[in-house]
Amino acid sequence: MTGDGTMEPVRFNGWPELKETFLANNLEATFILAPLAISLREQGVPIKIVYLGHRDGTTMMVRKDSTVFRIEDLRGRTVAVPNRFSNQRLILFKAFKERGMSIQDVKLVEMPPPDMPAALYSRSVDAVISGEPFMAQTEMDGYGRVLFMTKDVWPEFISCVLAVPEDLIRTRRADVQRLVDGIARSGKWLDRDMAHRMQAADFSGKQYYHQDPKLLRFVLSKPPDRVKYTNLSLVRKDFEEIEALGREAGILNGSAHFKDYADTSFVRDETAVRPFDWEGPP
Amino acid sequence: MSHRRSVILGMVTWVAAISLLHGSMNLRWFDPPAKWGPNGAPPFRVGFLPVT
Repeated sequence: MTGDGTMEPVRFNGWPELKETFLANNLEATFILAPLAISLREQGVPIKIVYLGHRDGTTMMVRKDSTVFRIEDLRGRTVAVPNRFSNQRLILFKAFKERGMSIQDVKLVEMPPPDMPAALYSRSVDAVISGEPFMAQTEMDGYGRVLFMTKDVWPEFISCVLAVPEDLIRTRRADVQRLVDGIARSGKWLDRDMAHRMQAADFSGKQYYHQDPKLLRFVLSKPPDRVKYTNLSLVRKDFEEIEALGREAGILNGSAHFKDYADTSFVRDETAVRPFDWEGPP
Repeated sequence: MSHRRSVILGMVTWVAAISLLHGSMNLRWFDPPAKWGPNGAPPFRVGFLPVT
């Protein structure tokens, strides 16, 4: 898969492989789980988060015929999460805590998101939680039911962040800025008009994700705020909440803070970001 | 061929094959070199998972 000019998207199917490739200096930038990026910083990896990938866009699914109708009903069940260092795990921790439950009340298993639909279908797990479109796939295929969307449990949920090696900010700042500007401007373009979302579903499904555009159209429209691509600047309080939950959940040790792992200099004023002028074919 | 010789040859073949497989799958030894930009700009590879 090649990108435009010097930008080259490199696709992975699981977080461990992506992390190892980044650590081996084979990626100049990466979308990565927010707690995983913070944890790497805690371990001394010179990584900086420079922007968000999206907001919300994560759904928890159970089988249509499941007897789980509320978060409390998950007690004693097996739940698949993308990674130990994922906000999908932390949202469970938060939701359980708010309901007087503990993360020990469920059996958590780590699973690459692309494997989750089959695991739910075969009843290997009782519930799955991940970024879209794998959750919507279970819904479209007729065996999955939404238990909750992140927007209803943790509004403005952060899943993936854009991270770069710290030295790249010095050596290739213009390239990082170009990437961040592209994400910011295309995000505003996406959220300006539903027709733009449908257009994006078609070309990204065919050109980049190699997924059915019908599935992406579903994710980007049902409902329209299932996933959002604006308000992607780094906000200190959002990350402090992740840090606090991460410490409570035992995946972060609290040795790295916002000023250590975040660089907010690429988009100082979100309102100044202008959407691209692309228009769809007539 | 003696039994001892067969075992050694098998072991050497196995180590070579598994090393090549590891290099190919995990260390990307045989991947094409990253693409350079039109004006000699170094590649800028962006990792992602196909999620939202």
